[in-house]
Amino acid sequence: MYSARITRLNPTAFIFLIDRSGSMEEKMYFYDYLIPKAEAVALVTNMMIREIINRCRREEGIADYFDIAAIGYSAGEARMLLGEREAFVKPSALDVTNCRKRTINRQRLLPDGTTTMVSEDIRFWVEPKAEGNTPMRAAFEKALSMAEKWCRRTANANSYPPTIFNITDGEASDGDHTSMTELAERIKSLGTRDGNVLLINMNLSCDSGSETIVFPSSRLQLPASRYTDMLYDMSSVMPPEYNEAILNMKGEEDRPPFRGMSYNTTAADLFAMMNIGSRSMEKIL
Amino acid sequence: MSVILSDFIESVLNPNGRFRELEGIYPVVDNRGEPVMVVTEKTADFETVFHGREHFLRCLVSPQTQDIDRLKDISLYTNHIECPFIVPSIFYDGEILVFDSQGRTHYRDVVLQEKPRGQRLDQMLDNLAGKEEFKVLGKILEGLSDLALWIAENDFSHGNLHSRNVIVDPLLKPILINYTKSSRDDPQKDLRSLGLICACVYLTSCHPALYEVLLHERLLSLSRMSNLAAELRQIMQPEDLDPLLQLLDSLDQREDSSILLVKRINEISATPTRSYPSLMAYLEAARHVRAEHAERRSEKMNRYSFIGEMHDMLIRAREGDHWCYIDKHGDIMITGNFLRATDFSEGRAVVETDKGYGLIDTGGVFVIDPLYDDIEWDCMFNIAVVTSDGKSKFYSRDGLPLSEFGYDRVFPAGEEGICVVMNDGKYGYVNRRGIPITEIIYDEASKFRYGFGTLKLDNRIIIVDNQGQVFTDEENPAAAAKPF
Repeated sequence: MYSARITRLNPTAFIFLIDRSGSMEEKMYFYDYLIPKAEAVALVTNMMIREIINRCRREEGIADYFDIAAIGYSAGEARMLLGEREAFVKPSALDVTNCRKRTINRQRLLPDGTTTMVSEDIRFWVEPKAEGNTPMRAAFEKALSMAEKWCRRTANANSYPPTIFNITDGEASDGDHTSMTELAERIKSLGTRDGNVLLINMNLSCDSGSETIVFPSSRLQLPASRYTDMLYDMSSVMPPEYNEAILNMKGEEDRPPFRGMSYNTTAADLFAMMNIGSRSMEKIL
Repeated sequence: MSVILSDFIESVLNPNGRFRELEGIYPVVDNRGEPVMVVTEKTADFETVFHGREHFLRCLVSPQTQDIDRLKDISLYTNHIECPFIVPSIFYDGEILVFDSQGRTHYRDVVLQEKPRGQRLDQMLDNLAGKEEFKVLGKILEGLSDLALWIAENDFSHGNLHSRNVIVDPLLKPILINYTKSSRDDPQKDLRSLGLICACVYLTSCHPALYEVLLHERLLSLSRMSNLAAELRQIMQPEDLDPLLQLLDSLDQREDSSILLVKRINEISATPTRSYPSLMAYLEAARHVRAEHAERRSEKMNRYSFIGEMHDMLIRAREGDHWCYIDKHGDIMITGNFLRATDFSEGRAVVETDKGYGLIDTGGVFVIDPLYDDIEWDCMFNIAVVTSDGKSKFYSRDGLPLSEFGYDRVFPAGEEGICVVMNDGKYGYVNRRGIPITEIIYDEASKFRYGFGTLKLDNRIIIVDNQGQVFTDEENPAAAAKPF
C-alpha cells in the first residue's frame, strides 16, 4: 500500500482546502514577517505548488505527474481557486499561467556566522483572501465529490491515492463535530488499490503561548477541547511509509501511528507538513 | 526534516556561502529568473557556470545509498581513464549547504561535470534537417563508430544513451553526458542505442530532410525505421542500403554480440554518405509540400495552447479554456467547445461538456450523449464503460446499452474483454457485454489472463474460465499457479 509509482499514466492528486474566513486576517509569523494568516497560507500553498511543478520539470518540458486542485472556503461558499469548474489542473497548465509574483526576502545564518539575505520570487496561483464565515463543510463536500470522481476513474484505479490538505484557523460555521467527522470519514474511505485518500488537517497558529503539535500519536498530546478532538477525528492515520519523515520532523521520541493533523501550526511547520504529506512526489518514475 | 527540491533551488540561486569547494559557481537562469534545470526521480541537474566555464551541477535530492555509491564509482572511474568521449564527473561529498523548511542546515552531495563545448546531437541533426551537409553527417558517423568501439573495448555503459545525451564537439566528435545511470558491465544496451542513432544519422545523410521526418513524426523507433528502410530499397543502391538494413536487423536480433554490433556500426559509418537524385527529388517534393503546410500550419497552430498527436487523422487542441479537434493543417474539424477531450482511438473519443462526459465519433457526433459522470472507452474490445450516479454500465461503440447490470467499479479489461467488477466491496467477472460470468461475491479477483481468472473467497483460491466454470486446483493446477 502507498507504494504505487507515479507516472504520467498513473498520476496522483493533491487537493488544497484553504480557509479564507475573516479570522484569517489576523497576523502570524511567516519566517521573519508578521503578515495576515491568509497571506501566509497563500504563500505556503503557492510554494508547495511551485515544488510540485518543479518536480515535473523534464528535458522535454513539464510532465503531468499530478492533478492539482485548490478550494477556498469563506463567506458562505467553497470556491475553486485554480479554475472555474470542479476540475483538477495539470502542472503544465499551471506553469504557463500568468500570475503575480511576490518577492520574499529571508535572512539565512550561514555556518561561518555570517548572515545573507535570500530573495525568492513566489508566483501566486492562489491569492490570499479573508472574509466572512468558515464553510468548511461545503469545502469538504466539494473535495469529496472531486476525490470520488478521481478515484472512480478506471485510469486511476492503481494510482497513488489523492492527498487532501485542509488548512484552517477555526471551526466550521456550517457543520458540527458529528457532521464534519462523518464527512471526513467518507473522504477517508475513498481510495485506489494502492490505499485510501489521506486527509491532513492543519490548524494555524492562534495562540503564541501554546506549543505547536504536529502529527500527534495520541489524542492526549493535544490540549483537551472539542475543537482539537474534532480535528483529530477528522484526520487520517498516517501510513507507516510516512513514519520516518514524521519522526525526523518531530525530532523527538514518539511512537507511530501518527495522525495527519497539527495544532497551533507555524508557517514553517505548515510547509514542512505539506512536504511530508506530499512525499508521494518522490515516487515519480 | 528532509530537504526538498525548492531548498536546493534556493541554494543554487543564492550560491554565496553555500558551497564548500565550488565557491564562485553560479546558475544559468531563464527569462523568468528561474534556474535552467532538469529534474529526475532523485536528482536535479542545474546548468551552472564555474570558473567561467559551463557545467552541469547534479544535486542529489532524494538519493539512496546505492545511488551515491554508484556516482562515486563513476567519478573515480571517469577520472582515472583516458577517454576522448567522456568528460569526467567529480563527486563532491557534502558540498552544498541547503536550508530545510524549518531553517535547519544540511550538507548534501553533488556531482559536477563540465558541459562540453558543442551542440547536442538531436539539436544538431534538427538544425541540419533540410540542409545538404553530407560531410558533416559522415564525420559524425565516424565519431559514433569510434565511440561504439571504445564502449565495447572498455565495457563502459552509459545506461541511458540517446541523442539528447550526446554532445557533438566543434570537431564533430561525440561526447557523452548524463551518464550517471551508468554501470560498467552491460555495454550491449548502449551499443544498440548507438546503432539506432547511427541508422538515424545515416538515413539523414541520404537526404537531410529525413531527420526531420524521423524526429518530428516520431519514427525513431526501430520498427518504424525498418519500415522506412524497406521503402527506401526501391530507390537506393543495394551497396548503400544493405549496411543499413543489416544494422537494423542486427539491432532486432537481441542475441547479437557486442562485436557484431560494433562491426555493423562501423560498416554503416564506412558507407559513403551521398545523395540520391531520385530520392532527393522525391523527398524535395515532399519537403516543399511539408514546408508550405508547416508555414500555413504554424500560423493556424499559434492560436492553440496545446496541440496533441494525431489519432484517427484528428488532433486534439486547446484554445483558451476549451478543447476541439483539428487536422494536421490546423483547421478545426470538430468544434464543440469541450471542457476536456481525449485522443481518438478506433474512431471514438471521450469528451467532457458542461453537462457531463460523452463519447463522440470522428464526425463529432455524440454516440453517447454528454450526460454522464465518467466514460472509459476501451478500443480493444469496443466497449464504453459509462458511469452515472455511482454505477458503471457497459455500452457498445454505437452507444447502445449492452446490459442493465450496473457496478460500483469496473476495472480495465483483461483477456477476451473480461473485466473485474466490484459491487459493495465484492469482486467478480463480467464479459465484454457487461454480463456477469461469476457471482460478484469474492474478496479479490485478478486480471483475467491465460484464459483463466483467479478469485479469492475466505482465503480460498478459485479458478474460473471465460464461461465462469469453476476449476479446483487439482483439476487445473496450471491455472492455479497463476498468482494474483
